Amino acid sequence: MSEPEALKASWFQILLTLADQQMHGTAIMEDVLARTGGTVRLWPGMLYGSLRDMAGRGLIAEVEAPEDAPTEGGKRRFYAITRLGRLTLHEEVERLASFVRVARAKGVGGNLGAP
Amino acid sequence: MSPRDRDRRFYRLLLRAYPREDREEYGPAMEEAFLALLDRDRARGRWAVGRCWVGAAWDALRHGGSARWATWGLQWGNGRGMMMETLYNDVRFAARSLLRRPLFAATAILTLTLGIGANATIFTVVNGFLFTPLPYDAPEELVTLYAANPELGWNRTDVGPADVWDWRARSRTLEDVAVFYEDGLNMTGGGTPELVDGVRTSPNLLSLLGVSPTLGRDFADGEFGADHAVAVLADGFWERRFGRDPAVLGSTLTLDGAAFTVVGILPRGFLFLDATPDVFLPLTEDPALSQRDGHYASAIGRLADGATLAAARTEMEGIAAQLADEYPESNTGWTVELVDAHADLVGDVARQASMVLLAAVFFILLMACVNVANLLMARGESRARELSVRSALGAGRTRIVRQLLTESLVLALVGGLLGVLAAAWGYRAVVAGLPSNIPAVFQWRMDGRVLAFSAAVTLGSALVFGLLPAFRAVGHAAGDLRDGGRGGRSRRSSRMGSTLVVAQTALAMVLLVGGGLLMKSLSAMRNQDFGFDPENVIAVRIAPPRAAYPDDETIRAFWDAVEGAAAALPGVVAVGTTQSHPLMGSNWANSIRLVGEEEVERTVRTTYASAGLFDALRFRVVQGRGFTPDDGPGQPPAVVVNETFVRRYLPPEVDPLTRSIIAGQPGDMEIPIVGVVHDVVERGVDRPPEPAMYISLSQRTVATRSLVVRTSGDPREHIPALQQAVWSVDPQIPLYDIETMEELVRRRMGGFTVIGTLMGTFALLSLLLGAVGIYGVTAYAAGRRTGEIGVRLAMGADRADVVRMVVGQGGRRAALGLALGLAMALALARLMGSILVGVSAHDPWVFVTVTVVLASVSYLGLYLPARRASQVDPVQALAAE
Repeated sequence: MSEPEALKASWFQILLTLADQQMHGTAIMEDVLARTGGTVRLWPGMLYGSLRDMAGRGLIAEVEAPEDAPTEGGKRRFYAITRLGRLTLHEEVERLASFVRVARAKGVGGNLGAP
Repeated sequence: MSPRDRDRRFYRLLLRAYPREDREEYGPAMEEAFLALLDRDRARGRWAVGRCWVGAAWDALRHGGSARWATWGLQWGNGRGMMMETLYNDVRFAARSLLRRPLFAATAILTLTLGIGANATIFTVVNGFLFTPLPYDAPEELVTLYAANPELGWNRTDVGPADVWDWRARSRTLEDVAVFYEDGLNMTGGGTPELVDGVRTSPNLLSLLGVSPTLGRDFADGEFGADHAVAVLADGFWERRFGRDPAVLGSTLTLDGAAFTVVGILPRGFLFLDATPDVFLPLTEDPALSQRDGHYASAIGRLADGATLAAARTEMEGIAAQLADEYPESNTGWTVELVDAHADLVGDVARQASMVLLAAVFFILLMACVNVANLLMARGESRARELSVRSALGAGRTRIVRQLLTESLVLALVGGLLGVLAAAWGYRAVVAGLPSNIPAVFQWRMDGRVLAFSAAVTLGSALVFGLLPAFRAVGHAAGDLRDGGRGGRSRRSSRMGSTLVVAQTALAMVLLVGGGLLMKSLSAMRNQDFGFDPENVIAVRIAPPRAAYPDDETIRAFWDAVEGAAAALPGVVAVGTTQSHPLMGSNWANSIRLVGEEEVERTVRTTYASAGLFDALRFRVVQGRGFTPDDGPGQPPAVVVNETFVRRYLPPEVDPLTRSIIAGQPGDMEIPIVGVVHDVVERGVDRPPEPAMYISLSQRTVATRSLVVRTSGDPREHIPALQQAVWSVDPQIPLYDIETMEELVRRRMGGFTVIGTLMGTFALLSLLLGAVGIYGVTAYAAGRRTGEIGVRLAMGADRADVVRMVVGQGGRRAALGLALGLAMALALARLMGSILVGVSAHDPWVFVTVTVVLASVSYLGLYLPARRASQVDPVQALAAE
């Protein structure tokens, strides 16, 4: 299959969280939990492993913590999405959206196909 | 520790799975993230919390592990190790396959949890004693110095400050030596009077240990004597008495009526050797000028760079010999003993007990492994067809072995994890049972060493119980499809099973003998004749301060008044005083000579007793009399000795009451022996009685004494009245170390009780594991022979014959195991010598009982499955074939 490879689910969720705000790790984790109703759990090792790898690939970047950010036992590390990250997220959303369009056309999902 | 701190600490342990760089970079952030997750789950109950921990452990293992692989340069595919990915798949597959047979998995895991948990528990305790260095600078250089006098048979005796100061000045192998002794002082002024535990020390003690005050200063060179009334406070005392107020620095404390300026405060968490002092004070006089013949202090030294303990011993013995030449009256015969400070604090009993317990849990683990191996083997055969199919479909041998080993590993890891969790509770329970006189410097926690040990034990057991069944299963896999699943397997596996039975029985035998001996020793210790009656007796320590009671007259008057006030209380049956009551831990001894044999000096344990003491403790006078009020100050002196004194020092035909002693040099006053008492256990519940003598307190005054009171009911109820009675004599005087004699006896036996209880538990555990193992092997073997048994029954064999056959075959193995175990137990019991009291290491009663019990249990383990096998219906059994 030559189709572009799907973005890892955890990476997708992290990019989605960072799409409109800068955040630190724990807040990212909590945001993802809240959005997915607790089904996507970014365990600390997975979370920071992902953040590091994503930063390594230029999808996100570490940024200065905001002045007013509370510190707990040391400075928190804040992350922001990069241009590349936004682009990647965009592509993934489009990829997913294309499936959704097909599904809708077949009468699956949404209100159209409701019995 | 708050629950949150505990969670944090546990999570930090998990974080150790990550390479150091990762941990340093992301550790705090990951901690925060995890605690946030945990908080969420806590709201949803225990299950959620448990799942959270398991998830975090898995996360650490997976991501931390893969990061580690990466740092070792192993295959690193798309951001994740290929090896880790394969392992991950193997583990998932193994977990699924185990979950398909939950009863099997649970049994195996429970067995491993017991084995690994027992090991982690005992290792944590032993680690605190033996493997954790003392919390001082370069602790391996520290040595304890004792005085010794081989001619008088004295060893490990207290030292004199003057000698220590000479050792310090002359030694080249010792960088420094400090001298100190414990001193209780009454603190008055501001609040209730309190007895504080002080340490009088030469100025170099704290710097020698490598500790410096967090506030203020250490003692300065030459700070001794009344002109230098300064004090350094321990953190605990500063907190308890002054609420950590830094203004205490520079203020004065009134101790025994004298004012001491506080110059320093020690760091929090500083632990001092075997004591928990409140305050450190300078020596009362310059050690160089102190009396040479007093032995009442302790000494600790630090080896110079490059010096060995052996070299220091040689040098110090030379120095002691010089001193004996220079000061013949005081130092003749005296030498010095050097002991590694850590070993000295641990002591022989704790060291040996540690080894015995470690060996015991190791055996338990072996038994657990044998049982799990047995389970796996039985299961390996039942899934032989599955493996054959996989092998036929092209799975290589290594792949199958790896799959089976992964299953073992998963079992071991789960068992290990649960075992370590259980040990976190277990070691606390053990430590809580340890006697309170264990040196304060020992602390216990599950540190990296404990976890590394547990991990090694877990992996080791996975190999022990996993390897054999795995290769065996692969061996079968090739042939299984051909012969339809039957064949020579059962004979091979029954041979294997029988080896396991022999091993189980032998190991159980060793553990049962160990446990039995210790239980018997414990009961011997409990039921021994103490020579006094501890029931309904309470003892308190009282120290009238020198400032208020400067001479013999005032001290005697004080004590007479206290005894009188106590005796007048309702419910008090008898009252006595003594400088040290039995089992208190005092070690007073004197050299005496017997009249008529003046040339021989003899060492005698000395107790100063008031006229009422013998009644208060119910000593049994076997000959002559005890003390009476008539043995007063002006009266002729008298001494009472114990039976061991008579047995050891007097010829059998001599009437002890016709002999006298001299408590000093020949020509000094002769003191007649007026009575003999039955031996009293004084020094320790595990020590044989020593020659002892009792001298009337009215004839030799001692200020600090125990007030010993026998009451008609529970003595604890009389404490307030007793306090009031003492305060009616002097309201400024604190009572301390209030303890009933029964509590004291229990405390003294504490360490032995812990060892005995643990060994007893392990013995029972081994019995259980052995029984389950034998039952399992037999049931499995008999199950495989159902067809054969059916044929036998069909051909007219009796059911009893079948039982006899099955039991007989297993019985021979069990008997072999018993014999092997007996030989091992005989050899190993000798190693327990020093922790056994009142029972021989080869006690026949224990050996016979254990053999009978184990044989019966083995028989049951054989008989039950045999009977079940004999109940088969021949028609069905044959039909199944």
